[in-house]
Amino acid sequence: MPIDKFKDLNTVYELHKSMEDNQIIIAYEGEFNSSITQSVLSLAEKNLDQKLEKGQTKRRAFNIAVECLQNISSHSDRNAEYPNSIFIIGQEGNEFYISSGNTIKANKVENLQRKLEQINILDSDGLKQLHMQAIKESLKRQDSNNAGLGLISIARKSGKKLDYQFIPVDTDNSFFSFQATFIKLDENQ
Amino acid sequence: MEKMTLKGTFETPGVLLDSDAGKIELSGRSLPEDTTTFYRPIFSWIEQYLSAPKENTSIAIKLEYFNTATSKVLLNMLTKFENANNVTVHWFHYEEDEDMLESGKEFEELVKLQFTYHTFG
Repeated sequence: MPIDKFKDLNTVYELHKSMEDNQIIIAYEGEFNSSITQSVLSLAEKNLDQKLEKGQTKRRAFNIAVECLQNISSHSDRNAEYPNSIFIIGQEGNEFYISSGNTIKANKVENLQRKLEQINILDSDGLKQLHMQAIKESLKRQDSNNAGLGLISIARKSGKKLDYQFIPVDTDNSFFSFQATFIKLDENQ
Repeated sequence: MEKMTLKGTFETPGVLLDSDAGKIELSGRSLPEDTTTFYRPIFSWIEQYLSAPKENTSIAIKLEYFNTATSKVLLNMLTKFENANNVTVHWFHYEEDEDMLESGKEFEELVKLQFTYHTFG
């Protein structure tokens, strides 16, 4: 089928061009499990090493990447219907962004949205207090649900508001897009 | 008691548990999603150690990275030592890594243990 093939090859070029124009450092789309997460993380670290001097910015970037990936991975275990998620690290000048997208159950949206809103109204002292409170509670409950702490940690490392969006995909599921940005610090200061 | 050592990997820390020296050390990075499986034998060792601890116990945290799942584990681990005598937490960080220093200070606020801070030489 030459026409389909032609179309596909065009798509390859368009995707390549779009990724280059958007200064994508790494992008992965597909299923996530702990071994894939580790591979993506390892690749992300190598690529960040090339873009950033070893120092605070790189450490923060890596920390955000870890939490983002582990958030995806912990959600996708529970979504057999829509197993594919996306993870992207990109750059725009001195600004870096780490994005993720994954499908979550519609009944989880409200709770997640509330957590994100709560995080976004806080300044760095407020986030510290929230972190301290959340970690103490997690010790009491001994539960494995880590999403709250992970998001607080991302917000603290990012130093900026978290961007997010929920797009309903059907009555039971929503696509959760998430993005953390951070500015490359001047490491010479 | 058996001495326990583990080599660090991409996502798990190097571990040294030495009951004769009263020394517990974690180094490198701790990023596992499933912290329970990795840390279970370490917690068993600690429980056994705390049944007959040395006069002085030193806990060295020499991590460059840890995920939030690990921060819960660390808090849980440090809390276990609160009732032992003469426990010092040696918290290491890279000189410019103020986040890691701040993490140490936060753990210090959360547990009743003596902390000292060191930079990686």
